[in-house]
Amino acid sequence: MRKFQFKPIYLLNLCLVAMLLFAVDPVEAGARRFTYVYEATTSAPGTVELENWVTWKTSPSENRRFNSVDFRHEIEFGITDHFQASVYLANWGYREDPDANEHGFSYQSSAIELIYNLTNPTTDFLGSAVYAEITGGPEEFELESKAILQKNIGRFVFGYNAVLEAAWEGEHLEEHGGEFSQSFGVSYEISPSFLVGAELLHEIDLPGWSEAEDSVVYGGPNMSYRHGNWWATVTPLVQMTNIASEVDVQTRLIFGFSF
Amino acid sequence: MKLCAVRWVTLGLSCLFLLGSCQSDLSDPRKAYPTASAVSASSKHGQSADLATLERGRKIYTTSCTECHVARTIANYSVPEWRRWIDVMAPRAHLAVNDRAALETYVIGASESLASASE
Repeated sequence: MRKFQFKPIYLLNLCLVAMLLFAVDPVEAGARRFTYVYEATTSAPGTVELENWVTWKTSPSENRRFNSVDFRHEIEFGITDHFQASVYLANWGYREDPDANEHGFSYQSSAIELIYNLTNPTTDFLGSAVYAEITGGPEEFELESKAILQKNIGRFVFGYNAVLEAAWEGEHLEEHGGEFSQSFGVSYEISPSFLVGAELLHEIDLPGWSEAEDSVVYGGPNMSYRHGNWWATVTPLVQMTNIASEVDVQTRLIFGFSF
Repeated sequence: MKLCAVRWVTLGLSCLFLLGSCQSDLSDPRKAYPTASAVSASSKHGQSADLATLERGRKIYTTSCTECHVARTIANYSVPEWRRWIDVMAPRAHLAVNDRAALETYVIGASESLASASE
């Protein structure tokens, strides 16, 4: 008899099955069109939503075998017409990196996220919002800020984020650095339940804030489905540059439930 | 391939503004979703409602409804069609009785206002 071997893909399958099982209440939920791009709109006051993230990163090449599956569990609260706050209860994941001799599960951090909507993409020329996130864990502390822009044209929604992140890592938080990234997404609403589009992600690591590493660009399609009180959006991204130290493929699935 | 960050920022922002400047009259927010005062001034339904209710209705239409889907252009549907859609969508958006009434007042008033403007 073959010995059972746990693989990250099983977790993805489990999450998908759980998501389908909970789809029972015929009520719409506030939903995301993108997984890497944030939208400028915020949740209605008084609403509460649970969002679960799964991000699978892999480099299947012989030169650098790498696999990781990261999970985030977020509870999102609509506070006012323009302000929402979220708590990331736990960021944890599975990592398989022979080069760094890392294998197994680990808890990474928890976080608080605040989004303030400035202009409405439906009634103003351009929707906009500002975003701040504070993340803390046993060996990491991060501050992240985002400028979010959104343009709606008919059933098309275009989103753009510029992100600056400062991170301190290590046992005594001795390693510090940053990252500048941008993401761009377009989504078309085929029906209120089903949307398709594409996302682009551009990242530059700034180790020690003293130098900029090579730019890495990812691109890929996205798809979003909403039903009842849940929704799910998935984006597989492929590296469009040729940076060997970065992963080749990453796929993010977010599924949310409203209460 | 090395890519310059400034070039990507410029490209992203240029795309957004290009798309914004190409928008048609129907996606112009002032024409697609008339203000409360415009509805009050130009529709029978709007004249019978107070301005605060119309403003509340417009806010719900452009924020609560768009949490799940893009806002539909009001002029694309008739008053009976809007009444049917509100019956279907209001429970899904968990709208309170007052909010549903404000939404209906605004949407029906705006639909009449846009119909009379196109005649």
